[in-house]
Amino acid sequence: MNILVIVIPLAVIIGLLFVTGFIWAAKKGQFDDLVSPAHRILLDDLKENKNKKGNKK
Amino acid sequence: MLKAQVLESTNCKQCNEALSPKQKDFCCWGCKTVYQIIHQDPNFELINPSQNLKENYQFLDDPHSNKNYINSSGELRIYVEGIQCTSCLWIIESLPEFSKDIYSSVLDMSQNVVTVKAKSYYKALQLLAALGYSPRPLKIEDKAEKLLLKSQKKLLYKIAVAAFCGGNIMLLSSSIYFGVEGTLLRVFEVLSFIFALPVVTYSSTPFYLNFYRSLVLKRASIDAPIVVAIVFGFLLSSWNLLLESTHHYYDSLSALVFLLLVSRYVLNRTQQGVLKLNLLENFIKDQRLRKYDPSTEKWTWVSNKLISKDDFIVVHANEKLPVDGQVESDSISVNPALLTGESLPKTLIKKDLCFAGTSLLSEKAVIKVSRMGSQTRLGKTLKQVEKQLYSKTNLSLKTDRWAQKFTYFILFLGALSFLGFSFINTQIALERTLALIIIACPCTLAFISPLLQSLSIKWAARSGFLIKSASAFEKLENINNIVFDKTGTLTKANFKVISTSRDLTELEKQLIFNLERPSDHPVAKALVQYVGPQNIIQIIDFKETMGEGVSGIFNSQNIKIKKIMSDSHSIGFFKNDILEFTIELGDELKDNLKQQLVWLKKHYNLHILSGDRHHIVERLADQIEIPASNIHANLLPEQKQKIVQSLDGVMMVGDGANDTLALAYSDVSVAVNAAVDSAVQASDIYINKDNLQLEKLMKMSNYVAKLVKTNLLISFVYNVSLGSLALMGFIHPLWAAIIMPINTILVLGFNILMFYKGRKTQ
Repeated sequence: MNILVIVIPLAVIIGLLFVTGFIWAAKKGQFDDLVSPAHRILLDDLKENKNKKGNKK
Repeated sequence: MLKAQVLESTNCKQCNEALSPKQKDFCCWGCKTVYQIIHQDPNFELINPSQNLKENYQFLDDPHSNKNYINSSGELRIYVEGIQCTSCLWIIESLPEFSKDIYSSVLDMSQNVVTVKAKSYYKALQLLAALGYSPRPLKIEDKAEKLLLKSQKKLLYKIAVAAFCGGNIMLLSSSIYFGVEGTLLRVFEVLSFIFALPVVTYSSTPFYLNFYRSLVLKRASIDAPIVVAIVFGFLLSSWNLLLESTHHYYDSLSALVFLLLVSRYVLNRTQQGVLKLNLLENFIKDQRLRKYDPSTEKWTWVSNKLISKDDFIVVHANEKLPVDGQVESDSISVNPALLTGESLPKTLIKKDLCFAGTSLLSEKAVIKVSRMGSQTRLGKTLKQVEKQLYSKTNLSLKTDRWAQKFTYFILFLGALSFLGFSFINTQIALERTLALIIIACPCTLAFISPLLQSLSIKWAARSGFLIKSASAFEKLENINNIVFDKTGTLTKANFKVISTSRDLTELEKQLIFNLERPSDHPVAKALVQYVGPQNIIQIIDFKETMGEGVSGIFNSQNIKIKKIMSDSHSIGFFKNDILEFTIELGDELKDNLKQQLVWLKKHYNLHILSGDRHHIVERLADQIEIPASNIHANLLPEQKQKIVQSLDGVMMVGDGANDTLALAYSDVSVAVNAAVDSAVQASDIYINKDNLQLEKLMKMSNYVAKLVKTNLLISFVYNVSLGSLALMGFIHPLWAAIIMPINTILVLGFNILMFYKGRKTQ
């Protein structure tokens, strides 16, 4: 059972790392807009399409 | 290939999103524009921007008057209506490609806000408008609003901390439940206590703050029982810890805090924050005007602060008059629809008074300023609106009030039982009282109702109803009267020919077409539209008299088309000064209006309040079958407000500046699509689609209200039955702590299920 002395603090530290990571991300505005980035990822396709059309002409 | 063609009929050509029956080929303007650009459609053409620009926003380019709008890094935030899908995102974010005057534009689709950096902000607005969106620039947030936004972010941190600590406590507690013994038990208990500290001191601060505020304001708040549960739970658990007893409730306590915080965060997110903040300020304060010098007949742009009484200004076509004043041009034609609700354009001659907020139809007008800014008739009304809105905010929700009453009852019972049992044994008294409080805490309600509300608000937004606050949605249930404005709300902004005194011959149609076609006047446009495209015939000596009509000579006959009386909707067709026939004009009802009102008529009292003339309003009411007793015409904004105030449970639906007072004083206010900024600001709900399907909204609100009531009933029965068991000592606090979260999850599941079922059937 002595291993618990190491495991529990370790678990807490790992947990704390995640919490700070989350708070940092929130502070940076990661969660401000959850809708547009999902759409934005598709945008390159559209732009390429446009270029292709343009090249053909 | 074949499959694609089949898809075309029901899905958007560009993004493949399902279309509503009314839409053709494309789901939104963005898609249409993108499609046309990609496929290089020869018919591609930007639509006329002025149609979608509600106010004159040119002042945004003037460094002296745009300070309230442009932030320190040179960014302007614009609220945009009509955003649907990826194409919109693409087209809006590629604004800089359309114009060199725009440096960057970034769209936030969750808020429908575009942030623009530009040399000319007005250009960006014009472009957005030309692309088919309705842009409304937003003011920079003031200190209080910034704080509000910041607190929303802090809520997220608090949720994270509660999740971390709560999760750890649960792990530790479950090992305690499974029988850890000895020193390890002590260690786990102390660890639980340490993890509970940040939950109680940091994560729960919003509840303490709200509780304190509601105490100060003496208002009901659902936070009272929550605070009691948190504080008592924590103190008693820690007391037990000191006494080396294993009864502690840190786990259920932190789970409770976590769930409550999440439900609040979700609700805050779904409410239409941008519209709620007072960012949609009226144009009247920051305006740039064309100062006119009568001696040189030239004008220059100046900030409105540099204009004083008796100065002259010039206004151009399609702009709104920025001041109250006197007409100095010989004759001008204005559309007073948004200011007074009158549907027919008005002609003003030299020395006539004109008012801020009316839009100019004729090409140019010179005006001598008499009053400006908040001194104008419009400005005064808006000031009153602002005052009323200020006092209207912070109404508590009904569920909150119920929960409050409930809590007092439980606390009273708890105190009583504690006193009673303490004669027997203090330890037993403590345990039973605590079990009662934990079980009976109406916390389920505290987070079910915000979740239900945010689900409904989200649903409503999809159907085109933007709801600014949850309390507005809740209040819909108590509505008995629905009051409509006429012009712009029930009718379209333009009008059309309703009837002619006799059938027209082909020649007469040709004459009307050729005489009216050159004119820009709305009446002329309506007439041209009525007769349809005709052959061109030679007319000589064509003349247009402002506010009168047109005349010309055809086959040596003198033809005149003009108003029969001033202030009427009848147009006469004269041949050699003899009246041949008359044409009756009227405003056009919105599409499917009658059908949309059928259900509403059955369940609510419908009223019409209009600033327009009696016979016009009566004819319209006749068409949509609203009884004459519910119709009021010829009203000033103040009279509208009085009538609205005299009604009980009233919902006001309007669009114009003359409705804003009535909107501010009604229980629930709705601004329809294309309403002026001040009306949007004064309203709880904004319809951003071009229909009046209030039926959908009302049905949904009734359904959700029923669901909330069911919840109240369930939690009441549950609390009373289990609470009395707890009092009699059948339920140990430990079991109480386990039952509570299970109950919560069950109720949550039940509600979400019912909500989606309701959404399908409504």
